[in-house]
Amino acid sequence: MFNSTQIKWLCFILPPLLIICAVFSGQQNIQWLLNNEVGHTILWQIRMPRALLAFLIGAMLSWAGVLIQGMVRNPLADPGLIGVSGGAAVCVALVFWLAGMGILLPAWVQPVAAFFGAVIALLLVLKISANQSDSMSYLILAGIAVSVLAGAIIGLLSYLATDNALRQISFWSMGSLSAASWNWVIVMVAALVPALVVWSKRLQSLDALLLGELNAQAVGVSVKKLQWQVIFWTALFVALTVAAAGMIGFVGLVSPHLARLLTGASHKRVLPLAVVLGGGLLVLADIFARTLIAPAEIPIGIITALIGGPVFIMLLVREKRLG
Amino acid sequence: MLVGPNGAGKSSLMQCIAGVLTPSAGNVLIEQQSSDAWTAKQWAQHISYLPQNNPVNFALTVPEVINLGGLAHELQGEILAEKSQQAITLWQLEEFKQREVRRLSGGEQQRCHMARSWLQMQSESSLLWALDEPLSALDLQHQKLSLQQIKAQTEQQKSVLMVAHDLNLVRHYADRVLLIDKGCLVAEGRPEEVLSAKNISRVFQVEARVEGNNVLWY
Repeated sequence: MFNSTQIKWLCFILPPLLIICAVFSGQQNIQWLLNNEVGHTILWQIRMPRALLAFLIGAMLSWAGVLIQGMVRNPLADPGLIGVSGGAAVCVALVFWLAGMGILLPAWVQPVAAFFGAVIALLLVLKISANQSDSMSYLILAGIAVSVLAGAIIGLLSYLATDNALRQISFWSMGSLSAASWNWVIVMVAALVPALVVWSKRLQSLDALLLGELNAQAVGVSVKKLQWQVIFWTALFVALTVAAAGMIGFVGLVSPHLARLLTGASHKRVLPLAVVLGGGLLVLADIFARTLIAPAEIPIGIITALIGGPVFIMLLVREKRLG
Repeated sequence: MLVGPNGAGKSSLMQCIAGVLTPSAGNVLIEQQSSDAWTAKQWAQHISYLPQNNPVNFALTVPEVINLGGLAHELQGEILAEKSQQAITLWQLEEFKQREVRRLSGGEQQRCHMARSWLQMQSESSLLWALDEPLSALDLQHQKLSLQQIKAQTEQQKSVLMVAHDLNLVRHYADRVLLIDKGCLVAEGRPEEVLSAKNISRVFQVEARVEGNNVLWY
């Protein structure tokens, strides 16, 4: 079990270490990268933003996972599994498709559209599963239904798309960090800083929510308000990550779960630990994605799914055993 | 104490009084003042409400759950640690300090929630302890402990409203009894007046007899 002080240290040490590893892993050796003009460009304009973006996206997906799992009191509620990513993805695919049709929209349209897609999917899933006696399984079932629907719409869009748009949609939907840039890094940081302010004050309220809405209200939490905040931030984080890097599944499921295994359920410890672990996991996954079959790249979504799938099965078996 | 058959509206009334449920008509007056505009936090500062069901399916530990009783009063650091330790000692939870609440037995979990709710009462602003069937999961020893603590609160000029099903217990411990049925108040007053054989047989639809200070039913 990790205590708060150890988690604090981990938050300071792990991210820079992994990002340095990521920056220097690749085809060229370190000496060349550091002593060469082209090397500097590769380091600062390609690898650095990419490593940072990987970390930020992993952190945001985990953050969203922690929030939504706490809200629905279901440790299996991954933003990808319950259809939120799907909702965002449909809107992003639509923008790609329109671009293929010659309708070019400004760059900010994509993340904004993704946000609305994510909100709509999330509200739909929550609405379907609300007031069901077995809302845990209904949430997952509703999520699967929404994901399937989203998949079908994306499929239809790809089928109708021009060759170029099709290529873009299919690579993006597998998840890739190749579009990484400093601009995206700035956008993510701009979203994370207010989140840090908002959520650092509400960690104990999230704990209260774990005792059910009635008990949370009884200890003084404005449950409705908190739930809307969870919905807003989950949708925002998922939408931004989907717009930047496509569908990257299972990070939002695996890292909160790992964090809970390591440190219990109190959000004061779970949230920072899950965020750092999620960021770290995605940086590692991206190192594999770039180097395993270099000079080609494996889509990072495939790597996370390859790791996440078995972990998810393990979790299901464990949940069953715990009753 | 609040008494009545299943579905009479006891829990709904408790929820209205705790500000968790908004009444479809009328409003809740607290100290003669309307509480319509209160936030959840204000409610919790004045009323410590413990619902009937307290599910915990995440790995929160006993102190983590108890500390939530300090949330509305913004207790932190040493003050919180001290009060929380008091609650743990008082509710005999010392041996479970490192344990996860969801791994405890039903009665032990209930004690943990009682301790949380007790902690929420330990503030100047707290007026009312609203307990929905707090004793149903507890063994005799801890029922007695709970009733002692409830008594102690009333001696500190604080009110306690609790739902109970054991009519003999109600007769022995209550200062005032409210008997409700199908959403309506049937009788109100001293326990020996309200819990008469006639009232009990009418509301609960059983044959009832009162012998001395005991209710017998069959």
